[in-house]
Amino acid sequence: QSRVISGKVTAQEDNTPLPGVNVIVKGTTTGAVTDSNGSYSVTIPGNDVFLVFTFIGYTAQEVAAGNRSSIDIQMASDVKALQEVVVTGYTTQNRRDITGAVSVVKPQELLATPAGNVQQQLQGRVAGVVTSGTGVPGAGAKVRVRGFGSFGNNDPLYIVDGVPTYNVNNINPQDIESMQVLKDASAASIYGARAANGVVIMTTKKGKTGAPTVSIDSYYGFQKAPKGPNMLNPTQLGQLFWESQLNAGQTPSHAQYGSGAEPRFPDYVIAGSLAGVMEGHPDTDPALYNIDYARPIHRIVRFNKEGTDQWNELFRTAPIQSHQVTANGGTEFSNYSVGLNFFDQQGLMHYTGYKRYSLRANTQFKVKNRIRLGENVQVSYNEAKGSRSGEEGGESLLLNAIRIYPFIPRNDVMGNWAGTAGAGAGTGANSYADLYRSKDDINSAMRLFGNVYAEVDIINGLTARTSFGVDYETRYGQDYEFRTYERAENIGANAYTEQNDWTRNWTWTNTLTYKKVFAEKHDITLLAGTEAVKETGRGVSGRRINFFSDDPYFRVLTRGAPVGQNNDSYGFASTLSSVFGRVDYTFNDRYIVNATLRRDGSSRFGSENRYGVFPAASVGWRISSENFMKGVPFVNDLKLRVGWGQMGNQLNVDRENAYSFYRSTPGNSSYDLGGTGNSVMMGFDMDRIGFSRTKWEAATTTNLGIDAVLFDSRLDVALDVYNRTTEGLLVRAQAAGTLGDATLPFVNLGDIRNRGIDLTLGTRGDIGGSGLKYDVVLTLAHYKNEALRVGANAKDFIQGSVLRNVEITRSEAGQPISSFRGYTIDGFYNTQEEVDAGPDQPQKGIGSWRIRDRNNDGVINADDQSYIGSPHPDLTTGLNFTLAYKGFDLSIFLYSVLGNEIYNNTKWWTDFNSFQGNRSVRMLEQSWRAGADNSKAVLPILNATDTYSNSIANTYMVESGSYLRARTMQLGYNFPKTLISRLGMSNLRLYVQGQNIFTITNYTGVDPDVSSQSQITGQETGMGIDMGWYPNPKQFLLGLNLSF
Amino acid sequence: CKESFLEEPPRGTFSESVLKNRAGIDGLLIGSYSLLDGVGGPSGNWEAAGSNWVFGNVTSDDAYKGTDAGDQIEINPIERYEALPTNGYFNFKWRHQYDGVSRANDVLRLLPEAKDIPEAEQLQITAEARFLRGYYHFDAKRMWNKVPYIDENTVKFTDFTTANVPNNTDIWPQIEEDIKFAYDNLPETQLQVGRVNKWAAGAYLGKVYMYQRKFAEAKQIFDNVIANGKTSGGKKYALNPQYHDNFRVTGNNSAESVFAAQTSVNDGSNGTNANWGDILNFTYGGGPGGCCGFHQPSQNLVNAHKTDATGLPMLDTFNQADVKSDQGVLATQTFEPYQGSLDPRLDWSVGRRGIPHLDWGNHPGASWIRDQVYAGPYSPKKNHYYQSDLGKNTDGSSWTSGLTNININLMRFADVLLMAAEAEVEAGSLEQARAYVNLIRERAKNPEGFVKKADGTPAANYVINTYTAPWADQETARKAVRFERRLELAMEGHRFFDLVRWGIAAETINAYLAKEKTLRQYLIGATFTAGVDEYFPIPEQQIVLSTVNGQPTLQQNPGY
Repeated sequence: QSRVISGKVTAQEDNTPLPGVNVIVKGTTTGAVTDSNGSYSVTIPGNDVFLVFTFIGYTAQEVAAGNRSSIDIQMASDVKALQEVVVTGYTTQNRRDITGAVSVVKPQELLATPAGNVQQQLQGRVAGVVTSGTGVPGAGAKVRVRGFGSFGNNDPLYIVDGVPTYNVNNINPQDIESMQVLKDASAASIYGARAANGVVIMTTKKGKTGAPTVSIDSYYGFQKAPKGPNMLNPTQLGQLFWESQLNAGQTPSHAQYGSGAEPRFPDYVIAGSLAGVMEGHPDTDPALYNIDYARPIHRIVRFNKEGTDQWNELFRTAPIQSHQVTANGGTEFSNYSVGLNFFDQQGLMHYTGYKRYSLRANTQFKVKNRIRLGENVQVSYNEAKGSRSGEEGGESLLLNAIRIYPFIPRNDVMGNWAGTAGAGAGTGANSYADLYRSKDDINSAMRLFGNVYAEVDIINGLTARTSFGVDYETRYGQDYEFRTYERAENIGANAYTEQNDWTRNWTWTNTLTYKKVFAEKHDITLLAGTEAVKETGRGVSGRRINFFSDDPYFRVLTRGAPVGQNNDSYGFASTLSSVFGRVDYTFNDRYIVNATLRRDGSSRFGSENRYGVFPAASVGWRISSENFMKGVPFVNDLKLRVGWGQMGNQLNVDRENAYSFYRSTPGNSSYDLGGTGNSVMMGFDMDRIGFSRTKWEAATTTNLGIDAVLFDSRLDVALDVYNRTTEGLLVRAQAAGTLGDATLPFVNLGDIRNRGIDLTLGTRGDIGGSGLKYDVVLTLAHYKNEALRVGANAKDFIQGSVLRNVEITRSEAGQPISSFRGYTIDGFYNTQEEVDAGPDQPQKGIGSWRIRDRNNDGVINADDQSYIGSPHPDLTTGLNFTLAYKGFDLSIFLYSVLGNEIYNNTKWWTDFNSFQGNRSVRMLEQSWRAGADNSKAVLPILNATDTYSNSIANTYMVESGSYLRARTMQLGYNFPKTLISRLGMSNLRLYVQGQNIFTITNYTGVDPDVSSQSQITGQETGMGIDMGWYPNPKQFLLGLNLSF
Repeated sequence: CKESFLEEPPRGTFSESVLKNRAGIDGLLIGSYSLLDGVGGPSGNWEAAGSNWVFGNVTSDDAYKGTDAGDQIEINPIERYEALPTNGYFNFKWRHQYDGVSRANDVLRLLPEAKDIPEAEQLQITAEARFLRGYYHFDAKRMWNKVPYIDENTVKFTDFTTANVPNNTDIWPQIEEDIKFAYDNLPETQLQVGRVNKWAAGAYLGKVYMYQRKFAEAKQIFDNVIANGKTSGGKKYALNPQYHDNFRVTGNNSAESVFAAQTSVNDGSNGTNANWGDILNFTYGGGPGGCCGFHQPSQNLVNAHKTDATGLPMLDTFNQADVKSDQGVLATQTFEPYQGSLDPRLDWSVGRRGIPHLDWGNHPGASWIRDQVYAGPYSPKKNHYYQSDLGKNTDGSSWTSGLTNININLMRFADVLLMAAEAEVEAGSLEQARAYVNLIRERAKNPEGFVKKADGTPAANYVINTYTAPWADQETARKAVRFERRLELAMEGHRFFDLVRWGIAAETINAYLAKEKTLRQYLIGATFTAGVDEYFPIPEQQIVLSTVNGQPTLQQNPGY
């Protein structure tokens, strides 16, 4: 007859009680869970039963009840098990049973790199994931999983608590409890049409049963800009002008430097409208000074003979801080986790910065044992100050600071802005002035992100779950442009733009999961589900000009002039409807089979190809469980994995791809037929041609992997070899210009292949039992990218970046995407004989570059171009090294990228007769020079009329992009528990940290971490070019972790 | 899930069926007109500028690229006759012209399906659309010579390869046919002045004949246009009293304006309907526009404005000595302008130091020039607006102040008269030719129309007179007419095409280069190759895109 049996469960290694252990009467559904003291009591039907004790991370035990009334158990931790349960596609799996390519990232690894978002923290942490970012405060980073499978956007899909998103910029990294990166199809294919670029699964912190705990995590520190390029001072600049003009056969003359035999300094850059003015000229009289637009402008700017350090004018030492409070607790029936965070990263550039406030509240309730309800939600508000800090290219703040002449001071004689006004003072703008003027431009976003869910255990093992996720974000932007007086090219009217938009996405997911172990050996999980996703958005903006006052409080649109006002709005919607299923089967802990299937319907595709089916399967063999492996003592766990599957990518097809339509816009199709001079009649023109047969980009991956735990669990190895071939890449259809200019649809015209190896090695231990613990994790990743087909014709190519009319990158069959293309430089023409003997080359002369005549036809022309570099690295490596001794811990994280090239386009601005502006010291010192030792020369002879050298993409611009960077170095101290418990604390740790402390590289640009940045966001065919990015700062932090 | 859940049509757009009615068709026609200014099509800015300042002037002896060496570097090889087929300027221009053709074809394709348009109106719409189609083809034809002709039945949007039409047949007959249809069917006046009318179509028909050297046909039609022509607004064609009336807002759609690209400001388009194609062509660092110093007149063009004691141009000797300039003179140093005798039109076509620049005060020389050592001391002027027009006739809503609503003159009555004069010379009627030229010179010599100093006296030593004596022979007459055309239409985008049309491009340009390279060292080594450089290269991208079954449909021009 039935009776009660009770007892206590403790851990074998230290005899501490184990709460949460499942105690089941074998063969029944009767059971109990140990309490916080490890105690349990359970009713058994009679003596002839077994009790089964199971607990994650411990070896399960079966004990016969017999006639005992009390059974105490010691459970041994399961050393060979990576028994962690991880969240993968719509379900959870034991980590040891995973057969796909899945990398698990520990949150503490992420948090070791303080940053505003998860993307930046991912760098170097996962083999096969390449991340690169800039120093723009709060900006995300570019994350690429296993190379590039598309010419368009290759962003991975993020699933946060089951809710899909492509934007994790404002998800608070401190809230993350677990992260998994699904890298191959067998792992990710259950996400179907959106999985091809990899899927990153994140769950946020859940409440834990027990008394409330409160923890505080804070850091505060400073960021510094790296050193800028080595530019000319005013004296050197004059030398360069004179030499360049003399070599061109001109009589040297310059509006600032005079027209004598030698350059001379004026005293003023500009006085009134006169440039290069000497002291004593009547126009330098301060009484004449005027910058009030109502009267003629009279600027007076001194010539800074010592030279202004324009780079240091741009940057400052800027604080960064983050403060997080987390409260966590719960009972058997409900739990909660609440987090509040404030993150504040001031910009390296003056008057810029990013702030975010976020609140997370996750709760879970149990109703009548079988029903669980819960929600995860984050509300965040962030604002970025300074509208222009993210710019790149010639008119960016960074390049303006590099190329503005060194003789231009920050301020004029009256303390107002100085600039490029005045003949010979160059072009561009005073970046400090621009920063100051945009200091009140705030771009803010408010986001609500999360889900509510319910789970019902229908029968034992069968669980139904429904989840409704919402991602609502509204953004607000302000941009005020000042009228300028100090520039060469002034802005003639002030203007104010205000914009607001929102996106509202919802995801409704329903799943049915059945988990059961049959006959102890057959472990089965079945999953079936449906999902519907709808994204909608609208935006509106307005702009007016000619504001009466520039006062920040005056900035509302209605204060601008009614003439020339402009307004705009847009809207969009797209939907996805899916069904999916999954089978996981493990036989006797040895043979693992997994299969998934998903069918997606998407509104982005026309009726003829609206649905896609994405299958995947994988098998695993746990060799170490086989009897023949019992005699191999150094192997703790060994598993072989093979997976195959297909995934889709729909990111690169416009929502309107299937539709043909016309537009009516003032600029494109309207015309002042009536000759009024100030109004138009609205007209129409064809905007788009639709195509209803476009379908998904289909990536097929094969993955072969080995997981091993060796040498008493001291060495972990995970090795994956893969082949990912994407077929039917979406390429914008091309048609002859005779078709008209309607935007053409995306069609499936390309194939691309990525093959690679991901290797993760981890080792840990205790050096000689001394208590000095170490933990080393090395990740290595290599991929080889090759475009197999890029269009209907074999010779088709996709033109990538064209900068200032110079084509730099191309994607063509047989080459990696975004390869650099250009001319090869083979030294110089040193003598007239060499010049005469050489091929016909534009503007050829003594001291010119000798361009390689690749086809030996005696003419240097477009046919002599070839591929001269690739932005794809051969190897990316992350090395994380941690040492702990007593209360101290030291961690060093090194990141390296090897074998890629960077097209350093900043040199276009600083090393040639490009726009008037300051030049590099390199140009003065390393240009070919008649009669000089030219062994170090890299640039052609200085010649004011050389317009050829900068008009061609060439090997001089291509540099090795390899670097090794000390991403983070951290030293921490944990205060002894005995000490802090008296203060009521359970944990107290202080740390100091440095980020990006040193970088070893031969790259001459400011920051080599631009290698996979793209010219155009989301367009991979133009990446690898340094256009003057906001560099990554060095950071120095002091941090605190405290819990009660 | 219902199937309708996956139907999400784009917001804010029109489907074709919505446009098959009177308002829709007229909207499409307006869309076809809107490319006349060279902007608003395939996302270019100034490459296809309606004024043709790059292809018509920089390529000729009239103008340099200007500005500094590094800005718009793709124009550098064009100016040096070294441009490659990959040069983006050609591709933009090509795409723009054929976008214009395509828009006109949209009108013609959908018109029969619109049931609410009376027959007479249908005819008029057809005529306007065919004129525009002919016009866009015409501009392409003189750029590249070997160009395809596209009509409303050529392209099927379900098969993009239908747009691949060979360029191996001469399309002058089709261009002629389109423009002649317009001439035969258009009304004499229009409700809106911007619409093409019978007489504008007639003038273009004459021009098309001139390009084909069909002088007799040209003469016949010019006679009719000159005798009976009027503007779409109903004004009888005439020369404006003052030369400069043609280059200011108040002269828009005047009696001299045969056909123009209408421009407008502050109309909600952020300035793109203003004269956007010429926004680079303002003074640098001050004065009108303030940016970017392009399209600087050549010394050769300035020299061409020298006159002899009788007030006639120095047809053969003009370039032997330079009109003094402030080249190499700093703005802080003093400068006295040239004292020799000059054609007064110089100072409306060219901005130069010491001469009043509209109402902006005297041109200050180097202060308004971006890089005088590189590109000389002169500024363009015809597209410049008055300071008093600032705000009213300019648009402040974009990055530059150089956005005006001065119409782009595509065909002035002066152009018609000078073409008629050419036709007369070729017909041997030299006296009629002289009469036409003298009409032009009479207007130019109106002292009311001279640039004047603040005290009301002429800004320079202007000496100009008509040809009082008959021309000795046809050759002399031809030279005089052509020279007059250069002066009258200076910097208006015609010069290069005229030189090619006359068959004297190589000799003229090489002579120009030989002297000009001593002033503009960047021209050293530049040569115009006869038989090649008369036409520009077919854009490489278009040849690649024309591939059908591995073979390009378009053929490259000889020499590229």
